[in-house]
Amino acid sequence: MKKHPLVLKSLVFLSKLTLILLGIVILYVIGSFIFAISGEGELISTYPVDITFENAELKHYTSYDFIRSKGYIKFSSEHWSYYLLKIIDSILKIGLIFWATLIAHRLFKRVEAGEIFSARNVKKLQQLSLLVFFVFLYEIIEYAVYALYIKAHSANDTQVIQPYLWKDADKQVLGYLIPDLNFSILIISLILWVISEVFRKGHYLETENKAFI
Amino acid sequence: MPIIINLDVVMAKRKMSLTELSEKVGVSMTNLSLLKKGHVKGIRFNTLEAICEVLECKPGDIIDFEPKSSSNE
Repeated sequence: MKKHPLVLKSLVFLSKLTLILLGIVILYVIGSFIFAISGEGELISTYPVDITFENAELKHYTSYDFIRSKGYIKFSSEHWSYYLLKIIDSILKIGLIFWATLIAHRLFKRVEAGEIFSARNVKKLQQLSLLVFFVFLYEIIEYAVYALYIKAHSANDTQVIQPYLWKDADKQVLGYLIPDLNFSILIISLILWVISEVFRKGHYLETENKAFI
Repeated sequence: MPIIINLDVVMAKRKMSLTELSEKVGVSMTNLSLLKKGHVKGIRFNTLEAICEVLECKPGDIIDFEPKSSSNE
């Protein structure tokens, strides 16, 4: 069977490098959390607010991104619980990416070793696809948690940042929180599932071929 | 399975061992043993051709068909 050792070796190396970098990022996130809770300063929500709303006043935002029509709000007071929410979110997200990279790394290593259409590879590809799909689902959960948190902590009595799904008609709205979803993740998940099906067919054909002498 | 493999019969007639046949045909002993026991899904034409050439026989001498109904009787 013809192999492409250079490409596969590069993929194995790249995935290994990603794993190391993710490990460093996890350590950095934990370090920043410890630094943040011990220090003082403005607490800014990292979840973007939609500023296309007609009454949106830019002065209420600490920073904004005109290209994406997104702004970032400042909390009215210091909330250590936001840091906790942020670190749990970061670790979960990095953890999911770490897990997916680990599966991909093992897959590349096996393919490099010449084990291509095996039942194990099919299973791992399906796992990878489901994991990437879960990252997409996680973004929805992340939106719900941030929206509820920001609704509860950033508002004063009259002007609020509201989650679009839980808007309160009685209050003057500064901006809406809309889900910051990445649909390319969903497409990647579907592509991975299709590749896993190709591998499943390949595994079947290889097994059939081995049964013939 | 209604397909009967008579490889052992032909080999016995030619007084040829499995090792010798394996060397001459170029198929591993494991695969030939599986074929002899009828534990394979199929046989390629080039393998069959090589076996027939070495054992000086026809495919029908090695492979036979016995319908299910007659085997039940």
